[in-house]
Amino acid sequence: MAKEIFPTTIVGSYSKPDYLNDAFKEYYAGKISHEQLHKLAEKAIVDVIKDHEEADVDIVSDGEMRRSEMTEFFAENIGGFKMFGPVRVWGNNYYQKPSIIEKMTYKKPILVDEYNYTKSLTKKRIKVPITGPYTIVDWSFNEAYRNKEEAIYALAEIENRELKALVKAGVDFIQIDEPALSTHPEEIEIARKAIEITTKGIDVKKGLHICYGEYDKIYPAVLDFNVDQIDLELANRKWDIDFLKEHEFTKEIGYGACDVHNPRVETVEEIVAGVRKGLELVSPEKLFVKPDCGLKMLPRNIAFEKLKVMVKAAKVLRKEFE
Amino acid sequence: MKSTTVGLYPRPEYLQPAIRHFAKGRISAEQLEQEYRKAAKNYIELQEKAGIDYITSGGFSWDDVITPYAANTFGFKLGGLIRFFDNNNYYRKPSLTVGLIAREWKVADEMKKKAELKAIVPGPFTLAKMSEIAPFTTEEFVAIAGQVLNAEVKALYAAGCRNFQIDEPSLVFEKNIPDEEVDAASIAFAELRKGIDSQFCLQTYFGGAGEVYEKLLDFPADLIGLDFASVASGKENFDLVKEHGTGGKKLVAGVIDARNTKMETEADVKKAIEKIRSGMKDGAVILAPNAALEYLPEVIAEKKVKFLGEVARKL
Repeated sequence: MAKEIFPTTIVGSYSKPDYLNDAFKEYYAGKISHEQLHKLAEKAIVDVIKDHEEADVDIVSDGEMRRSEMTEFFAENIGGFKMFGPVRVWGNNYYQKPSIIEKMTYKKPILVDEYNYTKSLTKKRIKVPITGPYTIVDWSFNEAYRNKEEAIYALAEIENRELKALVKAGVDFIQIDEPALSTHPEEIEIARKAIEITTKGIDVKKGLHICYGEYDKIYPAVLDFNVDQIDLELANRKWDIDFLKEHEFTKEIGYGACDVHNPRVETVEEIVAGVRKGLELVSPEKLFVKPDCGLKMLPRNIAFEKLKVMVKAAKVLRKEFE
Repeated sequence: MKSTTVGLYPRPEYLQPAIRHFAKGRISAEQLEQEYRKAAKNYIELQEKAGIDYITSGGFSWDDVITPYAANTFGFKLGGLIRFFDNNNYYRKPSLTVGLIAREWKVADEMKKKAELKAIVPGPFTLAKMSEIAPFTTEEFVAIAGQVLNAEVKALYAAGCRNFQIDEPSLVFEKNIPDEEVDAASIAFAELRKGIDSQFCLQTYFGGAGEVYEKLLDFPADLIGLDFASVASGKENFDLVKEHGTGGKKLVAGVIDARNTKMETEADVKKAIEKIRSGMKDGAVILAPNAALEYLPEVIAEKKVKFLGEVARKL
């Protein structure tokens, strides 16, 4: 019964072990097969689930071990994309920016195997994150559609089919990741429509994760999105949530409870105090306690420590509010 | 028709690990320098083979067009240990590093055979907008930057450079810029080129010139660079040129899209150029990408350079 309030969860990614990072490199260099890469990813997933279970997180994920990167992975699995090579992000850091070279097509379910495998490893509830159509298009070159909007809506239709496949497989919690959204607040209406298309006929719990950015410019507009939960980074703004109080928070909140960009592990007290502020927005059963964002940038041991402390903090709060 | 490239070029894939290896001390500064030279040489050859008239060095040692200049020139770079007055105590001697761009330009200039090598210099207004400049106001800072950059331009001139591209994307990216700031940027532009008899281009990208266009035409520049390839900015700039011309300035027409892997066709370019020319009363048109090609994967950037030279020759 305690778990019905302050449910704990993750955003998605977890840092990959070295052997898996190496395997991805070897796979892209043509040195190992997809099969071999897959086997190593599955091995890594076992360890991620083990960490999530040991930390006693309520709603878990596979840490996105099978995904090379959050845009690239989908670009590789949806028809119409081509990779021409790396593009600089900053300094000497690069990513594979995909090009949409022809109309996109849905080839086959992308995440269903991932979900089934995770399900075989744990009894816990599972959340499946998917990178949203707005972000994938924003982070790609568009050669095939007249404009960005058209490409986004086309991809939203494809993602809708994927979501239907996930629901059919038994998924009951889907999180749409839209990190690009807060970087273009002026395009929020396009993103809203895209999510509407993506989630059409999807009746399971739906979350929308938005990475740190100009939140004040997209709130309260995001409350109009067709999702049950808005998932935000709040720890890295020291739980300064005043901007959220300007409008009644009409959805569940994925409440960023620990900072994923700072290796310092928060104390239980800090998190309890930070999360308690969230009760000014929603009631405890609508407050999902989770890290700000994916944990992939943090060393494994620190990510694990952060999860443990976060769950402890949620348990303290549950005692208080039971 | 003449053609030009306008900025940084994608780092070749072999250069990325070399930079990491240097940072970790696995290769020496000289070895890294060799790699930079190799990249510059290949890029210059590519542009010359493609028949580009005004080429650029590629800026392979630069992470972006702003920070190397800002960090080394507006601050002091720390040098070797020097005795602190008459004590047995030492400090690192700071030195102003004017000539940063000139040194890179000189190396690249020795590699080229027939094309003319442009120098790319960050503009005072953009430097102001991309930096924390407190306690200065934008107007104060651009005045200082104009003077400092004039020293850089003189160093470039001394090295043999006669063709300058001054990058001012912030003038078109920012909206509602106060008139005084645009005026200050124009005065700083004059300061920057003071005493130097060369071609100076006011290069814009990442936006349409909108409400500042007429003011930009009053800048003491010989050329103006505009984006005609992006959907919204392109339309805006077509309309501006149609309505106001270019005030006698030569136009660097960014018709090749540097932010999309899609290849333009000859017909697309021809149509765009005709449209631009119909609005211009005077001044030549130079064909160019609408921004640096560094935003593209290298294989596509290379294709676009070849296409740029080829299509310009045909026009």
